[in-house]
Order: sequence, then structure tokens, then C-alpha cells
Amino acid sequence: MRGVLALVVKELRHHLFALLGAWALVATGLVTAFSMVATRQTDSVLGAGAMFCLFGMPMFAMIAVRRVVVIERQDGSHTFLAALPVEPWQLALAKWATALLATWSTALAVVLASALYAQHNELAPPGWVALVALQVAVYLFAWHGVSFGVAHTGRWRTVVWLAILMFGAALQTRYEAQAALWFGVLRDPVDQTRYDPPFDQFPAALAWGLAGTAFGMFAATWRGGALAEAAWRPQNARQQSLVYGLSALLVTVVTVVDDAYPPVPRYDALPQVGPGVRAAGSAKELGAAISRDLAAAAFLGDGLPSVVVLARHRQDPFPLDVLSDDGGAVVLAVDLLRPLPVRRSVLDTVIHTRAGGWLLYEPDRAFLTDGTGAWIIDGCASDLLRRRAAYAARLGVTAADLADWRGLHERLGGDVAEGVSWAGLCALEASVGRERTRSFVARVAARRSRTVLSLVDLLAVRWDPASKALSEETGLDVSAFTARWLDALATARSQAPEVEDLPLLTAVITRRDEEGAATTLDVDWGAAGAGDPLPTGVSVRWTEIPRLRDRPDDWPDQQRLELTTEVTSVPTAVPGHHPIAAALSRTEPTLDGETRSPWVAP
Amino acid sequence: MSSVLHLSDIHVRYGRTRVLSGLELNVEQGAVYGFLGRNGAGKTTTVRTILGVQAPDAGTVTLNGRTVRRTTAAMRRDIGYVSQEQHFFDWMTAQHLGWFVGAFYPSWDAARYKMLLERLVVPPKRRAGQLSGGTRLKLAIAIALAHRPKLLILDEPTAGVDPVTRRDVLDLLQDEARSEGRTVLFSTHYVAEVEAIGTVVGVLHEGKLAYEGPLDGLRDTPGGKRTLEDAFVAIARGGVPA
Repeated sequence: MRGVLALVVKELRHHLFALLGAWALVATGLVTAFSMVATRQTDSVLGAGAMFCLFGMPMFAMIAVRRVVVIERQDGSHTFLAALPVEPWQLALAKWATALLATWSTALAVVLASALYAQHNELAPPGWVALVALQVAVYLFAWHGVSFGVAHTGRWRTVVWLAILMFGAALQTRYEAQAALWFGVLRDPVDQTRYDPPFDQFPAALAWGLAGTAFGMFAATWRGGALAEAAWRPQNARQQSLVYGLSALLVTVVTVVDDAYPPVPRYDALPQVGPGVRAAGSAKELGAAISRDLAAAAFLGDGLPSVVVLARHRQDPFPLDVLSDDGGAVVLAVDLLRPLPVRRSVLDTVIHTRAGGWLLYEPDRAFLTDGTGAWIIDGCASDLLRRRAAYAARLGVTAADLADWRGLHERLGGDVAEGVSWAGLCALEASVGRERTRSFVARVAARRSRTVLSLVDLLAVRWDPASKALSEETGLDVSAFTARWLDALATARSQAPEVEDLPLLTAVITRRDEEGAATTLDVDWGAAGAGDPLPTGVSVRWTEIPRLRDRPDDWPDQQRLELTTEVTSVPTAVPGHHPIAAALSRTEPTLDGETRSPWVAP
Repeated sequence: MSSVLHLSDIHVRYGRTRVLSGLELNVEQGAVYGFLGRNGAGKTTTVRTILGVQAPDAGTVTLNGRTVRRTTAAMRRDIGYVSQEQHFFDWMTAQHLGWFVGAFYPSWDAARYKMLLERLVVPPKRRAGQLSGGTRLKLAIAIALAHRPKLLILDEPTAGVDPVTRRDVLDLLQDEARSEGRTVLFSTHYVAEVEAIGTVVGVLHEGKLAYEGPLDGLRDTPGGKRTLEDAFVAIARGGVPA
């Protein structure tokens, strides 16, 4: 035992300066990863730490093994150790343990540092930090074990690495076999597995790590390490040619195999799901309801994605988070306390997913999202949606507004716009019946269900606008339908007199430019129709108006700044003299949603 | 006298190359065994087999009365070993090495190690990487002797060292044999070294011993005495030992 301890101490001291250098590199890498959070390239500090472990720490593990195994072979010092009264397995175990200790302790430090830093910025409870640490530990155990095994293949290790990684990756791609390699236990972003830990990937990773370890131990101990000894023997020209030849052959074969069998669509970070809804744990009840909703939405046609519903434990104004919507399935983390908004949002999400995200920019999206989910789930008997439609009517909606749905949506906010859209579909149903309304929605949906908007697609869409579909499926032209829609809004207002007492936010917002980056918005606000005192929970929303050449992805997120009746001057961090737009916002309990003042450009 | 080491019918081959083929070797207690052979004759392979670093394809090793196919780590505690080239960890000083190596030997004598370093003039606090080849050899000998091994094995220890160091080393070995009764097996191709301190000689040729016995037995021929070097050359060229 004393001998093994001496070996471990020797290894640590032997590689101390290399370890210190590696730690310096790790610290630098971690700071770089954190800076990605600061520059908004990624959202989660803990995710950035995990990402560093995903991409950076395998190199650490490989180098650690290389140092403890390979370097002694290369400088001949293994012969000094071999002559000591120590068993080969003790030598191998000491090296294996030392390298793993160094790798694990460094990775654990990375995860803990990330978790501590994250405490001020995001929800990173100890349970999740522990889960991430476990994922990282298993992932690096696999890297370490495989590296340990490969290191004992001596001068053949390049070929062996190629064989493992290239054939493993080809198998994984060709057969969607996540377990072909050990990469499934940790993903980027790690948030994707927050509510659905990839425990099913653990056996494969552990098996790889154990297999690599077992082979390394076998090679190091069988007949006193005769196998490793033979593998490290200098190669003659024929053997070197064989190494290069095998490497080239591997690359060629894998390339040919990959080309011959194009990979099936990747379900990045998704658990394997079949058709329908998968829901885990406490989300099962809601999952069953969503399953019924999706069945009711089947008239939209084929191609609705499968849905995985997971419980979300984070407070957020939005009822759900889309964790992934790639490859024909969506993974949703939902707020279980708000089942109805969740159900409506799920339908919106799957419709959006089917359309590849382009729906946001379509003028006729009013018939597909916003109120469509509510119409499918609630029919035309929802008091809440009627109140929202009534509130919109009180704010004033014209035929021109309905023709400019995106503008109207922005003015009203998503919740009230949902009521307007719902009222339109109900008006159509009242005119032509539910079946014909469904036919119209289904036809629009079929036209918009494109993941690639090519020029041909674009022309096809333009040749079959919603107005044409409306006419052919319902017999109504746009003007007739618009008139009935406006009537429906007016009817809703008459049926929901309680919205007449709701406050209408008004604001005069001026901007005081100051030196440097900070700007102050002076807000003079009120609430028409509100009693005294003024309503609470009002905030200023502002956004930088992008220059025309900016891509949508570059638009800054809308900012929310809390406002009280006492505080009407809002310091902001608007850069330079960029133009901004601002509006007041408030969650109205009667509407169970957001209301807005008109947008102003201070 | 009892036998400390006995190799019986040892066969070792590297691929298609047969290195040892039926080697029989016997070292008696207290002997200073000069193990002669040409370069590439298999001396180092024999030493590695004795140490258990090399597993023989066939044959047995008997060490201190215990017969095994391959020498175990526990049996190695009774052996002191000095290799042909000293592959220490360069960052370790002699003191570090004493601490490290001593952890593997229950019989490690730190005071004796310190005494040996002083006698061989090895600086205890200088890193191994900064020592000359001769000093590294002396350090290896000090390490090999500090745990009072029953058998000391040296694999061509004086190859490439200066005459003064060579003399120091040979004197030390002779002292160890005389005063401590240490059994010594040293391989070499320098016949003069065997003549200087050896009591028994074994000549390795074509994978087995062509001669094993007292030095005079090798010198004596029916036609009279010859030098040991002549006898060795005759064997190495395929001649008969006597």
C-alpha cells in the first residue's frame, strides 16, 4: 500500500508543472466560456461550464493519460519502475487513478466554479448542479478509460483512435445509435437535458470507460506487460507503412460509408420519441390533455411533430420553454400550474415547428397561430378569450389593422391578439360551419408547412394566398369576412361589459440623452378608466429599433424595467443615440394576460 | 554452498528470433558471478528474466529456494538491480529517490543509503538529470544495496564510464562480497572485470551457457593455460570451451 501511495505521489509530483500549466489553460478557457455568457452567445453560466467540460476536458483527460503512460515509455523511465518490487497491476492502477483524479478534480472545480458564478444570474439549484457534475464525471470517465486503453496500444494508438472515433461516429450517424459512443451523456447546451437527464446514455459511457480501463490493465499486466511492451517496440518500415495504410483505409471506408448512407435527420439532444406525446413524471396529466388537443388538431394534416412534455420548475412569464424543436419533435418544459395557457401554447408551438419558424413573418398567421390553439381547444365558448377580444375592440381595431396582423399583434400584445384571432375564427365558424373553417385553416397550414422557403415555395405561397383559400374553402371573400370579424369583436365587447372598467395605459415618454452609454427615459403615464390609486405592476418595455441592414437575429431583446407611481424616470443603458421604441406594459388579471399602451418613439 | 539463483531450461524468443534456448544458470551463495557474452548474446534478456520483467516462453526461475515460472514482485525484494542505463526521473534528487524506492522495500536502510551516497560521493540534493553518467551509476548502486539484497544483479554496469569510476564500482562490489557475503551477478563483455573480481564465470553463447564454473577452468586447456580473453573469444567464435 505504501508503494502504491508513493507511486501516486510520484506521479503527481512528476507532472506537477504540467498540471499547473493545464490548470492555467483551463482557467483561461473557463473565463472565455464565461465571456460568451457576457456577450450573450450563450445564456447559461452553468451551461457554459458544462460546455467547457464537453469540449475542453476530453483533451485534458487524453493528455493526462498520455503523460502518465506514454511519456515514461518514451523516455525509458518505465524500466526503472519495472525493476522495483511492485506488481505491474499496481503500477497501472496508480497511473490510471492519478490521471482520473487529476481529470475529475479539475472538471469538478470547473462545474463548481460555474455553479457559484451562476447563483447570481440563473436558477441553478444544487440538484441540477449535482446532475451536471454526474454527467461530466461519467463523460470524462469514458474519455479517460478509452484513452487509458488506447495508450497501451503503443505505437498503434493513432490507428486505434481513428478506428474508435471514426467507426463509432459513423455507426452513430448511420444507425442513430447514440450508444455507439459515449457522447450522449453530456450535450451542448446542457439545458436540453435539464428536465430529462440522459440516464439511458450512462451505461454506454460507463461501458466504454470500463472497457478501455480493462484493456489497458490487461495490456499492462498480461505476462508482465508483454502486450504493451510489444506494442511499444520500435516499428520497422513495414509496420509504419501498415499504420499509415490502415489510417488512410479507415478514413476512406468511413467516408464512403457515410456518403453511401446519408444520415437520418438528427434529433439533437432529444430522447427517442415515437408519434404522439411523451410526458414524464408530474407532467403526465397535462401530457394526456395535450395528446387530446393534438388529436383534435389532426385536421391540420400530416407532419405535426411529436411532443415531449417535461415539468418546468422555473418561474417565467411564458407558460412554456421550447427546449428543442429540431428533427420533427419538440421538447417542451412547461409550467404545470398554468395548464390552459400551456395547452394553447403547445398547439401554437407545434404549428410553428411544422412551419419551420417562417410563420412569424407570414401575414396570414392569424389563422394558424395566436387564436388557433384556443379555437381548437376551447371552441367558441371561452369567456376569457371573449374578454380579450372585447378589450381589443375597446382599444379600437379597424379593417386596416386586421389586414396588418403583425402590426396589430405588436400593438395589442400576444394575449389580447389571441382573443382577436380567436374571434375571427369563431366568426368564420358561425358563418360557414366548423368543418369548412377547419378546411380553410388546414389549407393555409399546408401551404405554410415548409422548413425551407425556397423561391419556388415563395411563389407557391404567393399564388395561393389566404384570401384565395378563404374564397375557395368558405365561399367568403376577404372584405365580407373582415366585416364579420369586426362584428364579432363588437359583439364580444357587448357581451363582456366588465372590460369597460379595465385601465387603458397611456404614456408620454421622453428621452434624456446623457454622456456615455446611459440614457434616462422620463415617463409621464396614466391609466384611463382606472380608479384611484393607479394600477400596480406597470413596467416600461423598450427596444432598440434596428437599422435596416441588421438581421432579425441581431435585434436586442425587449427590455423590461419596473415602474412605480413614485418612480417615473427610468435609467436605461441604451447605447449611443440609437433610436428606441417604448411602451407601458401590465398584466391584467381579468384578461389573464398582458395589456399594453401604444408604442411611442421617444 | 547453497544456490541463490538457478535458471532452468529458459527459453525466450522475440518474434522469430530465438534469444535464449534452454539456458541453465546457477549462482551459489557468496559468489561473484561474471556473466560474459558478446553484444546481443542475450545477457540483458537473461537479467530481465531473472527480475521477472521478461516472462520466459519456457523454463523456471529458482530464487532463494522458491521456484516459479516468473519472478514475482515479492521475490524482487531480495534483489538489488543496476541496469545498463540509468533511467531515473530527472527531477528527483538522490534523497527523493531514496524516499521513493524505499517505499517498496521493507528492509530499506536509510542510514546505509546515506552512507553509500557518501562513500560513492553522490550529491544527495542534486537532481538526477544533472548528474554525470558515472554518478548516476553510483547512485543506482547505492539504491540497489541500501536494502541489503541477497542477490545483487548488475547489467553491464561499467559500460561507458571512466576508469576511475569503474575502479570505484569494482572495489565496492568486491567489498560487498567479502565483508557482507553478498552474492553478485554481473553481466559484462569486459573480460578484465571478470578477472578482477569474479569467482565464477558463465559464458553465454547462442542462447545457452557455453561454460559455467571457476575462472581457471576456462583458462586451462590440454595444451596449457591461456588468457581468459582468449578463451572467451574462442567460445564466441564458435569454439569449444575447453
